Amino acid sequence: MLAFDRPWLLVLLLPCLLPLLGSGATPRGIASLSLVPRDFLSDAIDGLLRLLMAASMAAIVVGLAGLHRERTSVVRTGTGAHVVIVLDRSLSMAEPFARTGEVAHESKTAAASRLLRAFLVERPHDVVGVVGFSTEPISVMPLTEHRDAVAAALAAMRRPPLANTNIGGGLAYGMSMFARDDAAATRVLLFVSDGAGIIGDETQNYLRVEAQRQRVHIYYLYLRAGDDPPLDEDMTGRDDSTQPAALDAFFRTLGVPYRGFEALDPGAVAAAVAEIARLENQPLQYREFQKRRDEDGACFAMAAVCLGAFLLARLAERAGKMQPSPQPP
Amino acid sequence: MSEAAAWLDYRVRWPGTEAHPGRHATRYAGAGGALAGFRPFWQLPDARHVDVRRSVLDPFGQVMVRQATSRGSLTLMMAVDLSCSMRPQPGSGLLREVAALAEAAARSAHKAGDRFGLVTFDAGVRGEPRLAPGRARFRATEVAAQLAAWAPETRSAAGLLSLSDYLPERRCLLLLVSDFWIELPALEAALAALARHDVAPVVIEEDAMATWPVRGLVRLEDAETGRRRLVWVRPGLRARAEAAAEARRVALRTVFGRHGRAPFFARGALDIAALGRHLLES
Repeated sequence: MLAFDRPWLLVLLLPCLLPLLGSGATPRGIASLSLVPRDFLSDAIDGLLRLLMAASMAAIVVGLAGLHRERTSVVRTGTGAHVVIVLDRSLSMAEPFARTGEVAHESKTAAASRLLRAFLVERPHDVVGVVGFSTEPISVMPLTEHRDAVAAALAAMRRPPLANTNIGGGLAYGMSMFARDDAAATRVLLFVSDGAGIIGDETQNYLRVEAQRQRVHIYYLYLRAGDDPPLDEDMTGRDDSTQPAALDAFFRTLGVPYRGFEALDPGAVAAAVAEIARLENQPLQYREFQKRRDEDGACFAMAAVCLGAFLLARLAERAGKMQPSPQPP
Repeated sequence: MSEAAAWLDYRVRWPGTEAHPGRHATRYAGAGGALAGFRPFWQLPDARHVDVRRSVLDPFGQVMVRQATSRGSLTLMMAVDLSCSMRPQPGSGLLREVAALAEAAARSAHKAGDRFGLVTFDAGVRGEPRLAPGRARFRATEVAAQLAAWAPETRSAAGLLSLSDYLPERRCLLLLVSDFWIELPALEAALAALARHDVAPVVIEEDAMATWPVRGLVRLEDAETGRRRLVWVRPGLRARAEAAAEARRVALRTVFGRHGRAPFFARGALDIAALGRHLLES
C-alpha cells in the first residue's frame, strides 16, 4: 500500500496544475498568429512541455510528502510445518560430541545448533519456535516466521549450559506452544537431547492428551555419546525410565507419528535432520513480509528527468530579443 | 526625422478638388492648365488666347478663344492604424517608419500646395493623434513625433469601418496605413464606405521570421488577440509560413483591386521612395 508521511503537503498538488494553463515565459509579440500556420508538432511539443513541468512539480510535491510503500505481509502457500525445537540445555550437552574427534571438539549443543540452523535454511517457510530446558523449561523463541530471530536463538544455544535435565517440563512447554497456534499446519516437535529422564505421570498424561489433540509429529534426536545406552536397548524386564529406550517407548505409546533418531556423530545428526526435512513437507500457509520502502527517491528522480527535458527545451528556445531599430538622432 | 530629404511623389488621375493653386489639374476654368475648350471672344475677352484656326473655321464667323483649366490642389489624407498589432514588440520600429512616412507626405503636400490631414484609428477613430486637413507644416511634424512614440493599447482595428465619417466630404487621396489584420468581409465593407476617396493602401508587414532562429522553439503572442503559442521553427515551417503570407498578399490584392488602387506592401521597412513610385504607377 502506498502512503504518505506528510499528506497535508499534497495540497500543493493544486498549484501543479498551473503550468497546464500557460507558461510564465515572456513571449515575443507577433502582429498576428495567423501568419504562422497551425503546426501539429509545435502543439505537441507545447503540450508535452506543459505536462513535463506539471509532472515535475507534482513529483517534487509527492516526494516531499514522503511517499512510501507500507510494510505488508502476504499469505502464500508453500510446503513446511510448524516446528518446535526442544533443546536439552543440561551440563552433559557441553561435552564434546564425537569422542573419536577427528574434527575440532565440537560440543553436542554446538553441533545440534549448527545442523538445525542448516536444516532451517533449507526449509524457508517453516514457522519455528525454540524451547530450551534444563531444570525448568526456558522459552527462547515463540513460534514465528522471522527466520533471523530463530537463527539467532539457535546460535544463542551455544552459551554455556545450565544444570539438570527436566525432560517432562521441556516437552510439556514445547507442546503448550502449539496450543496457542491455531494455523492449519503440520505440527512437529523436534526433541533434541543426549539422554532421557523421568517424566511424571501428570506430565505424561498432559503430553498424551495434547499430542493427540494437536496431532503433533514427534521426532526424538538422541545425541548418543560412545558409551551411552542405545535407543533400541532391550528394556524388557527392566523398569528404568531414565533410559532413552524408555522414552522412545513412551513416545511410541502416544499414538501420533513418531520417529527416533540415534546420532553418534554430527554426520548422523545431519542425516537425521535431512530425514525429518524429507518427511515434513505438507502444504503450509505462511506469511511473507515486505519491508517499508521509501519511494521519494523515485519521485525526485522523475522530477529531475522532467526538469532535464524541460531545460533542454528552454535551451532550444533561443530568446534572441528583437533588435530595436536605431533611434533617430 | 532621419529621412530629412524624403519626399513622397504622388499623382492622381482625377481632377483636383480645390481652387487653391497647386500642381494638380482641375476642372476649374483658369490659366495654366490643359485645354478645356473654345469660347467666343465675347464670352472670354482674352486676346492672348485667340485661336486663329478655330476662328476661321467657325461657321458664324466669331472670334474663338482657347479656354484652359486652372491648376489646383487636393487634400492628402493619411489614416494610420494604431492597434496593438502595429507595434507587436516594445522595440518594434514599425510606427517610427509610419511617422517618417507622415512627415514626408506632409512635406510633399506642402510643396504641392495640397492640404494634409491625418486620422488614426484602433477600435474606433481616435481623437489623438489627429491632424485636421490644412497647410500648416509644423503641426504635421508634431503629430509625426507623436506617432513615432505611440504605444498602442487597443487590440482591435474596427475603427477602419467608421473611418469615412472622419474624412473630408470632397474626394481626397487617402494613404491607408495599416497591417490590415481584419476580417476580409469587414475590410470590403470599410473599402466600400471609402469609395468616395482615392484609397492607396499601404500594408505594413512585420518581418517576424527574420528574428527567429533557424531551428528552435519560439514562444509567440498575438499582439492583436493575446493568444499564445509555442512554435518549433524549422525550415519546413518557415516555408509554410512564407506561403501563408503570400496567400494573404494575394487575397489583399484581390480585395483592394476591387476597390481601386493596388496595395503597397512594406515588409519590415517602409521605403518611401518605392511607395512614391508605386503611387505613380497604380
